[in-house]
Amino acid sequence: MTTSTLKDSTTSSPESSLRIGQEVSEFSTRPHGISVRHALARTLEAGGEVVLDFADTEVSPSFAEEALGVLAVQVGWEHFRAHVHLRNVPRATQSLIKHVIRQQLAKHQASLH
Amino acid sequence: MGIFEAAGLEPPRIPRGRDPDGRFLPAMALREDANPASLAGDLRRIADNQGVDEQTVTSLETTLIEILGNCLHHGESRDEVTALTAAQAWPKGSLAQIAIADLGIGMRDSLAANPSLEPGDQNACELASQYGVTSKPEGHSGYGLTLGRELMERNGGQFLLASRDELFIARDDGYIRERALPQWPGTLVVLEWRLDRPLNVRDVYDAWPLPEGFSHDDFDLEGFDDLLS
Repeated sequence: MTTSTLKDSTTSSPESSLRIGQEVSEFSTRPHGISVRHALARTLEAGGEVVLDFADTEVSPSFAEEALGVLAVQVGWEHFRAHVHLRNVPRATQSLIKHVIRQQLAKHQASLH
Repeated sequence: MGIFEAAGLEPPRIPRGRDPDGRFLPAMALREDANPASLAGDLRRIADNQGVDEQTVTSLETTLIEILGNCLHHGESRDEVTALTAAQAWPKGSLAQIAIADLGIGMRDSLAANPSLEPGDQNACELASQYGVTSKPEGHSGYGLTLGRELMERNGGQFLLASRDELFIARDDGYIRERALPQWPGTLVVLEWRLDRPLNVRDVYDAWPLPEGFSHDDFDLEGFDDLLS
């Protein structure tokens, strides 16, 4: 597995490309998922675009939940789908990401009632 | 093999060393600051060594990362050694097994941290391995144990969870729930799978339900496929 470090994504560039398998030290634990979410949120909140290139990298459920599921709630699904782009996502990870986003959006809606 | 050494103890006798030949991994002692991904990478070798397909190895590794992460970060071990692991394969029997035994507070006490759970007489190990059950409802979904259980069940293997005096085993011919066994003070997880059948986390993910009261129509994630390009 890749062992490089997450680069700061607080860039002024309108598009921030994060190759998840190369720029994230780990894509497999909850704490790393939280770190990635913070980096992505900064970019999105600054009006940027995020491209996540998984390059055939599988992520763990806890990582996906924190990095993408919680992010979708934080920035809103419409904003997320408009500004987050996922590349080269393995089939299993596609299913996982869809699940965690749906799960977090559903939980969020339930919390509003 | 190496259980006394892993626990930092002098073995009562020195057994004759055997060439592992890819069939087992000696016991390892884990500290709290151990890296789950690195450990999972070590343990996946028991599958790698049997020449199984890459999806099986990756699925196993993903599951181990989840379980080891829970064990190291949330087991609340009071000991310098947080957990022990070991792995073994029986190629002629087409079986492999990985065991993770932590020295934490145990499953029942861990679940007690979630006020919405009332295990009562229910087997705490069975409850903990059900989808959506977590000891940390604020932000955690409890994926690790349910992923391990469902992955093993789909493979026709076996998932064993023991904690204190409670034992739960899920296997293709049904479930076993026992009490008053020789007690392990923390939690023991055993993943046992058939080497002649695949492991695929995708099948598990696809089968996971939505929260109670919601349907897929509520959140069909219109536009999700547009994200994937």
